[in-house]
Amino acid sequence: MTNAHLELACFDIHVRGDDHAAAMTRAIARHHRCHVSIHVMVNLPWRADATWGQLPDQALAEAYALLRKDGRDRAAHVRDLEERGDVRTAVEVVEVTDGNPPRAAARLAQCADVAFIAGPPVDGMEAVRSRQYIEALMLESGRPVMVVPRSANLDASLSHVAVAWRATPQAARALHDALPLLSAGATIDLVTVCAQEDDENVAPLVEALKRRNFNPRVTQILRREDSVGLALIHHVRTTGAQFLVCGAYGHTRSREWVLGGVTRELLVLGSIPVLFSH
Amino acid sequence: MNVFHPARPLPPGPAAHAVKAWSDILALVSSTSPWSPAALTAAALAQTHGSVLTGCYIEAELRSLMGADTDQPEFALLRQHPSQCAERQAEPEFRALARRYGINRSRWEVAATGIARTLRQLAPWHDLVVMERDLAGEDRVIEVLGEALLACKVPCILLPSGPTAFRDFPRVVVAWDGSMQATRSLHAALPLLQNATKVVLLDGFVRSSDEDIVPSFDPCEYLSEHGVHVRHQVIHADARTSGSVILESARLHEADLVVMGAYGHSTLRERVLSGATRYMLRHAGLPLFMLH
Amino acid sequence: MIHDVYVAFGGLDSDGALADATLKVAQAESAHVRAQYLVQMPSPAMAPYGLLASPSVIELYTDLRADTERHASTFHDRLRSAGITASMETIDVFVEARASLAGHGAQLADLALVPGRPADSFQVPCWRDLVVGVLMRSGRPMLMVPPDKELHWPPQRICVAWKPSRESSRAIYDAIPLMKRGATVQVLRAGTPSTLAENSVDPLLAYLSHHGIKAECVDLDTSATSAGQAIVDHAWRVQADLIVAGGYGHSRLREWVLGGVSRQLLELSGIAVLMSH
Repeated sequence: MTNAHLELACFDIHVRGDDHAAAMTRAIARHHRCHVSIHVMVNLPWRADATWGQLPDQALAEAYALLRKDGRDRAAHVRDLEERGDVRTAVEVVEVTDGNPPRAAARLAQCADVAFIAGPPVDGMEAVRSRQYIEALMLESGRPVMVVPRSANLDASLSHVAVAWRATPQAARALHDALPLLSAGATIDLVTVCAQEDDENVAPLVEALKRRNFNPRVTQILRREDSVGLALIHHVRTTGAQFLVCGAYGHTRSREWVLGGVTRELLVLGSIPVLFSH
Repeated sequence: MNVFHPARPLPPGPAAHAVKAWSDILALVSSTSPWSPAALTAAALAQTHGSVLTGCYIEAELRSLMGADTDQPEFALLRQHPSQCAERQAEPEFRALARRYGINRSRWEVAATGIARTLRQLAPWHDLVVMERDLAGEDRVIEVLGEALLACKVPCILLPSGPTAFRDFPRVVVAWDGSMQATRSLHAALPLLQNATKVVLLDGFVRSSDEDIVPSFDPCEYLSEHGVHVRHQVIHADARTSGSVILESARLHEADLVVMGAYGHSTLRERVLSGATRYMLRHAGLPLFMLH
Repeated sequence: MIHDVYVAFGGLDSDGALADATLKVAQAESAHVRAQYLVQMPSPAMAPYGLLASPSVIELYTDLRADTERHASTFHDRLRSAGITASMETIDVFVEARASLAGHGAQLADLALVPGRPADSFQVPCWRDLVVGVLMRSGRPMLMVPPDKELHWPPQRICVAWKPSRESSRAIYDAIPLMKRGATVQVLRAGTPSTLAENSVDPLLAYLSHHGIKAECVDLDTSATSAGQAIVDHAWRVQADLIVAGGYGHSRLREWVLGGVSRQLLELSGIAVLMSH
């Protein structure tokens, strides 16, 4: 597979785990010798109407000044983390004034080939914000999103990945989106989780991957009582695949995203990086 | 430079400042399987602060009982004796939960009577009470809170409704209006503030003319002396708008917790929840730390 | 790089031109072809006495199948002599299953070819199924081969219809390998002056240039016409070889309904359209 030029975008959303996501972005960029943009998201909802906002201009200006400074400090921190200096990284502070930072992030991701973001924390106010960003990126950017949990291994030789395969458009998209990231001859575990043997016929898929000089292997996991998400994570951890590739399923319900079960499970369980496509 | 009144705030540094600790934390538990957010949050706090953890289970019917003096007779007939109550069996699980959080000393209680009476027994020897906003239903929570704050005079953390627990509170907004209540609340929250990564102080104090006569309290200086790096922000808001201003700031700063005094005084010198508190109780979807 | 091309033949008049286009694309890309020939099964409803189809219907079906297999075999020979590897499948299908079959078949491909809208209205339902199946159920980009017009491949002049939506972003992502080969690229924004002012196209142009694609932006005013028509007209005027656009649709009672502009592009365009959902 020719080394396609890649644009990688990482989103710093002010949660624990941001640094880890940035590190993974850089690790992959190092491998592909490509460019990284890190967007430090700062929410500064603009209230043009002072009376409605009730927050007097002076206090608002002070709060904004504090937040802007925070943003700059975060950006400086991110720049400091780039120790080796061998990856071309552009760090920018993105001040979002329309009150919808997740959508702003999704728009930025539309101009990248892969978006990276920290996995959601388990609890606290950060968890709510984090999930909003992840959902927007997964479902509104049209690009693959790598969700990087804090406990994830940062090995980026990109020679072995697992793909959660079902005959759905989301899975097909996820698989094809992952291919440019992989090294030549990489091992691809096609993992199908099924109720009984031989539900999916993956022979044509195996042929297609071989034609692209990858090394496909097929694994069928019989679903028992374990959740599908757990079964997939278990497979990745025991086989040493570097990340999981999976379709992201979701639909809108009264302007909020409702994520599919397995998608939600994988986010909540964390522990391995997952490349999602919708 | 005068050591006792430094001209500039001391730089923060964990080694230089003794961290105040809470010795006993009480969680009002509404469910044992799974553990309700108050239980998990209290456990996380007890872990951080090396406290003893008490879990007190309050079953649904009792949550609506408010009388401090006597129970309703009909409930006495319906209610199981506490020792037979299923939640009594949850004691080993609670201890196991505490151990998972590295807490070696824990206690499990099951409320046998209304919340008010229960609190009067338990709260006085605890340093912090953690409860959920939806413990007793929308309206009751003010009564429960009132009981804890006014009668027992113990700091409370009120969690927002929903299943989210809190491991810690890295970003804290402190709403201080110069009142005695606000200052007491700030003082009581010091262990939390010392562990926070970002503290913003919303200063709504309107200085009166007798300022020169009475020793004044500078919250920023006080917090700095205790190793808390605080950002000072002055706000101008009257009683009507202060609640929304505080909430707006909390959202802007992505706060995990708001620290505030709970009660003001009405013209009749009665203890009533201040307008800001009422607003926050109604609208804030984030945890609140309060003391009277 | 395009490694795999998918094509579904539904017994339409355009099948011949579609086969030619497939051969052209596969040759230019050195790609493998997966061709599925759909043979429509006689549905039980056609039988006057219950589930058994009448003898005449069975005979029709048998002839149809034999014909189809002949076409498949001929096409296979053509591909082979052009040095292209292919897998050919002749599949019996009920009408209801057409869309999902095409969708599944195309999931492995880098490009899935469908014909343009048939002039014969009897053939339109089959065509629609193929389009909906590939566009909505495969997750892969769909290439609509224009009716009665030779496909220019690889495309040298590309018009990209853009708005800041997920679908548009997806289509551009899928089209980048095609645009990177030195094609002339125009990014078209269709809207009224006020809507155009809201969304800047500069980040997109910067992103494309990072991929070595030099693109210019052209605004199309839709005050007097529909977006679909404006795009089709402009692309025709500048003699583009390909239009790239997001494919919009929503599901209604378990069926997919294509959005208005998407339908217009597919029905009106005399130029090939690359569409992704």
